[in-house]
Amino acid sequence: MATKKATLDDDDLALVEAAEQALDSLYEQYFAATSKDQALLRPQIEAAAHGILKARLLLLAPGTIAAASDVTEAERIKTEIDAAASTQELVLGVVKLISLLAKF
Amino acid sequence: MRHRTLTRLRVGTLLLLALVLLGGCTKEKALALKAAAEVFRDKAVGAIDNYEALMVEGALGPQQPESQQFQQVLSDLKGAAAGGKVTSKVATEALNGIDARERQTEFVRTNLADVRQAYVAYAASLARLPEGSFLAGDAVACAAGLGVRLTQRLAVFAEAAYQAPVRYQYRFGKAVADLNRALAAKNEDEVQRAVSELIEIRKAEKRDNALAITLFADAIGAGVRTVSLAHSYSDLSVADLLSGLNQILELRASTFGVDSTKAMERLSAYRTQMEEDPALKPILSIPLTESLPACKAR
Repeated sequence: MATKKATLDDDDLALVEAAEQALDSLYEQYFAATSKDQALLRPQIEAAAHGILKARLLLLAPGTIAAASDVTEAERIKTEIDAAASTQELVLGVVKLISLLAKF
Repeated sequence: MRHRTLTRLRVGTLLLLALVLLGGCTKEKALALKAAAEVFRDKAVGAIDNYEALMVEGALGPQQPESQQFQQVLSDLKGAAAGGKVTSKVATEALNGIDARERQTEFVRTNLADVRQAYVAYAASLARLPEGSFLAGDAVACAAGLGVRLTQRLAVFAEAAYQAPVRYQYRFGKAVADLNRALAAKNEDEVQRAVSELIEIRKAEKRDNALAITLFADAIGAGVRTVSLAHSYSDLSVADLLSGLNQILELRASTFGVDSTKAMERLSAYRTQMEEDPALKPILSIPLTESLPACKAR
């Protein structure tokens, strides 16, 4: 984690963007899933949405929230979510995303 | 008769105005500054409320009607039952699903409660001005300083809203899934409907983000004017103060439309105005995380 400062930082913005792209993938798969899988994914979606809201709230505070390594990690997780071949893999990707966002 | 009444009214108004202007009455100055701070508070709280709702809707979609909530729980439970039976855990999770938006709204509101309260407290601190109990020069100077910082905080919000616009992710994901289904089924009508929905989502995002920035810009404008009034409180005539108050009251989102570029241009102009003021410039350079020296004793 970087130190606090007074203006928005490119890495802060990039982390929010990467995390949002991951949620996009999650929603895309959620709406295409069966009822059973949707029920399984619903708590994960709320948790991911919660993480993104948290990242956005920190963006509103006057300080840096993310380092470049956090952005790289978010982008790597997004790739995993995009490539998930099963609901289990998708859930695993979301769990990783939530863990990353929980740092902030 | 009617003419005489009107004349009397005009004379009365002119007399009152002359008394106010010539007297330089402190109470009127105090009332004008108090009113300006209240406009600032209302605009700031309104802009924050609007942005909170936008963020939650972006991540979790619009509030579902009760009929849709029922269908969601029914679908979840039937889906779970297809794999065996519905356990208490599964039923609880299905019911939790319909409260997600409410929970996240509360989370966001709780997180921004302190920020919102700061604007309420600021207006409350100036509410005692007309009683003459808050007239010490350092206290008004402190109010000007706090006003700058509260205005600055809104500028951070506006910048975040501009640089990281909220996207309607729930609606977008649903539209993409609908499009994929229509493409797979080779259903041209459904394909066109889904594409129209995607375009509509993009338009709504642009419109609603621009509105959020405009509301922040309005609040920042009210903040700048309140600070100007507080800063030059002892030097201003009542006419100046009332004129400043009128400017605040005239600020309306509709005057500027909902163009985010125009709103950001206004923000830039406000920033320049504060940066060029020799008394306010030093306050702008103090990080928001640090207290103002003049207010520490308060």
